[in-house]
Amino acid sequence: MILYGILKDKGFHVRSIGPSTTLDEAVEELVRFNIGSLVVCEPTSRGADVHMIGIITERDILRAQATHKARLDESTVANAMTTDLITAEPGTEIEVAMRLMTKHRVRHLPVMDGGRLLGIVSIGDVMKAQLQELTLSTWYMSRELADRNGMWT
Amino acid sequence: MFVSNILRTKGTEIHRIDPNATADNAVEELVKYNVGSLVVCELDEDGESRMVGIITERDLLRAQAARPKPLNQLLVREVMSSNVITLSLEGTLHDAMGMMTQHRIRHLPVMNEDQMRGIISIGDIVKAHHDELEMENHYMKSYIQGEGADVGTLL
Repeated sequence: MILYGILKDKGFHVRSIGPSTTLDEAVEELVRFNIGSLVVCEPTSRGADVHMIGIITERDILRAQATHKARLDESTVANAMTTDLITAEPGTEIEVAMRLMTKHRVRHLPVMDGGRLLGIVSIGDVMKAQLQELTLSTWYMSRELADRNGMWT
Repeated sequence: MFVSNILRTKGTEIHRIDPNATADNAVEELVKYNVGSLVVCELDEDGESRMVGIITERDLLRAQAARPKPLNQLLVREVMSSNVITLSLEGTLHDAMGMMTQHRIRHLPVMNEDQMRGIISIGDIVKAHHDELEMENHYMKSYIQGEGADVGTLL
């Protein structure tokens, strides 16, 4: 399975936030939508289009609070976000996504299609997809075994 | 694969916190150890450590969204989830994946009867599943390349 398949199931919608927004607004967004990250975007010079400049996660916000005692209503998203992004492509195999998440210890992968943000895949999405695959293969295997047993007895 | 196999690889260390610690202590601990949850434990009358809850990154953000109060004025027991979903040591990888997906959680304390034996996170599960797939792939490749006899003895 490839990441495009996951995005097709869960949807392509990405929640985003501006870099100059305060962290308390970021927290509100994360909690309201019960998600773990927001993509940080700013408008491009061309106007209508937006450009991804980073990602802000639960961990980033707590780290900002712990390390520089940041106050949520005073600190901005730009001060806490991660700009060194680990991304994937729509054709990336799920096994590769698992390896990227494990190696870099991240839980969200922006999926880029030729420079454009197509969607975001979280570790929860990856696990759900793997669970479905595993459940299906267990079902096939038990059916296969039942068939063999039927043949042998 | 069983949950006990995952614990054998990652270790059985559990990061704990007292229910009367402040929320900013909890944040500090999470960041220091780079983990996503702490098990909330208190001593009972017999002096035994007892799990009373779990506190996660999400809990801490949710508390701050609901009550804009400085973290050093919030207590762990006001923020934690006390309804803890746990998994048995004999559980499988498949069980753990099902529980996490169903309850939308990322951490499961692993129990052997009343004893907590460790904690597994969604990251541990994805890593274990990835390693398992890679191993299968390796065996299949060797098999296809005509080393079937070796594979037979290994399996």
